[in-house]
Amino acid sequence: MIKRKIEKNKLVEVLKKAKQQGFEHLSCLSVVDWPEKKKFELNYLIWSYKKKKLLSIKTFIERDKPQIKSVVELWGANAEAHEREAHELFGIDFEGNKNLTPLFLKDWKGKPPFRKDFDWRKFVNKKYFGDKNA
Amino acid sequence: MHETKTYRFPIGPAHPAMANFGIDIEIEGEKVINAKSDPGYLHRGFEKLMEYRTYLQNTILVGRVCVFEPFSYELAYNIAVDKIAGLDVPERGSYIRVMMSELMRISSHLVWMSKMCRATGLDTVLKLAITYRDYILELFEESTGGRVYPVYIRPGGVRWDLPDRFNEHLEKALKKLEDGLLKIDGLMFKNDIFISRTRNVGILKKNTAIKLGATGPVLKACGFKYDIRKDNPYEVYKELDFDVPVYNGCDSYSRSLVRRNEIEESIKIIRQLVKNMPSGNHINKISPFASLPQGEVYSRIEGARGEIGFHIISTGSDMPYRVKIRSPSFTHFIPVLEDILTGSQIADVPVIYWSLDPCADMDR
Amino acid sequence: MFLTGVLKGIQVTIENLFKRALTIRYPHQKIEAAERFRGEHSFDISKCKSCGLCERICPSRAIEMIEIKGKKYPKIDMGKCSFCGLCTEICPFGALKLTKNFSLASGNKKDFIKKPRKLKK
Repeated sequence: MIKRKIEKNKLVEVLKKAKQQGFEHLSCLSVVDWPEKKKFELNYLIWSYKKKKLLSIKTFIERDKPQIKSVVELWGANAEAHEREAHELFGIDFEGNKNLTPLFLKDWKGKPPFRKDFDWRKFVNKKYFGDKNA
Repeated sequence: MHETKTYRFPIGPAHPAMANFGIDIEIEGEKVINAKSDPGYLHRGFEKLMEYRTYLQNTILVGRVCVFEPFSYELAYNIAVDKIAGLDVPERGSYIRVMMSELMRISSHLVWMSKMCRATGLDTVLKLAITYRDYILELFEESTGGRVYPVYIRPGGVRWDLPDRFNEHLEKALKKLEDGLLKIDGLMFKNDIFISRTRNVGILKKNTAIKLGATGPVLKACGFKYDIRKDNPYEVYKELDFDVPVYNGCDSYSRSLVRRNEIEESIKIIRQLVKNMPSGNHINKISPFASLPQGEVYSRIEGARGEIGFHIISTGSDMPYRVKIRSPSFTHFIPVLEDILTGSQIADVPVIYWSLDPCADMDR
Repeated sequence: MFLTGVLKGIQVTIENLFKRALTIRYPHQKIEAAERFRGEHSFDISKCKSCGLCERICPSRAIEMIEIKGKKYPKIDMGKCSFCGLCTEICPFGALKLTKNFSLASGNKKDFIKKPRKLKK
């Protein structure tokens, strides 16, 4: 696995170059929440069919203002779906992605549930057990 | 009277031809002009659940991501944990892991066969395929103790060694499967009804498939030879001799043929594994409450539906800090399905849908 | 064009008409479960040393240690249990085991919560 850490404003540029060099398959977009560092970590995992190598592009964005450029122009609907998921579960805004509609959670109004500070135990107790233990 | 040209309606999630998943379809006459996937009915939040369980407890959980191929998810997860922990898998353990995941691939493809036949109206194969799957489930019960959720693969190897008379029973089941495949061939793959129902239906071109992240049989049916078992081999696949079935049709029929031939290849692989099975230890155990070193790992394997990946981040505690599951159905059922359905006929929707082999792993 | 396909289907149906059925009449006939089958728990209260490892390892949090005469024993909620068998594997004294019993259905919700004494030996 080739690992690269880049600045967030260079993301689209770097990924475009990587795609031209044969890294065509956007395998996964994985988001990690780091509340202590006040950062979100974004991992773009890309596979090259020709070179048979995996490329991991890592970038950090501010947790208070989670915004980053979208890569929809490179991978179309595939990137759109991955970004929708990240938007829904972590609350990250992807500039340029016009379809950030809810994917799994239709009527969700609270905090994005996959963030580390989302208290799921409290939520479950309140929602399903009538706030007995919350 | 209203004069409407287009009409919107949902198919699923409660629909006999759907699997806990809905599509919002806009039609003009008989033609689908717009399709929107509507997943989320089986969203169980596995990635979050796994952050609150130890590495060993998670092995029980991961299989539940997809009912039809729990072994593939167990394997992908455990390869990732092995890498983080720096564990060596004994050769026998590795052989058993591969053998079980190949059996799972056959079982998963048989379930797909039965569902595909339900979509095309060939109910005989529905029952035949499920029957043949049961021979494999019996093998699972014998070796792992569970028919559907085996919970067998562990960090460092497999849970138990194979039972005494397993090879004998395995050979018997494989023989039955080979006979059954010939029977199903006549009823399904060489049947004019099936061919006319699937050929040139649901075209997905190679370039679109790569761009939209299609993997597994869907990509192989576009004439693109790519298999993680060959191109990025894990476990013992490097030593095995097998072919990757590739078809150029780009349609539902090609996708069906790829899956059918993958069953044959899997049988071939299992026979080789039985022949060369080394003796010795089957697991290098770690403590159930062990804290693993810091690290980040992305492991990928070829499941029955396509690429399965686990991105695990460990901060040095006994539980993973973050787990991201890359599931094949996520890309197959949101971007790819929407792309294929646009422009197809309304009657072809179930056929296209099942030709991509849906599973609950799209929601996770 | 489709006639061969239809005829082939009918041929298979007729062939299977005269074969023995693969299914069995379940409540009257039973298939013996495999040796490793993971079913309902058995619990030997005399072997239990109240270490609480089973409670700690249970991934579904189905086991709770309750007090009986000053010692703690596992109470198992079968509704939560996923029959993974981790508790039996970790038990150092062999007090907890999984049996072949798979018919656990009941009309009463309370039957699913198995107190230590209610579990068979």
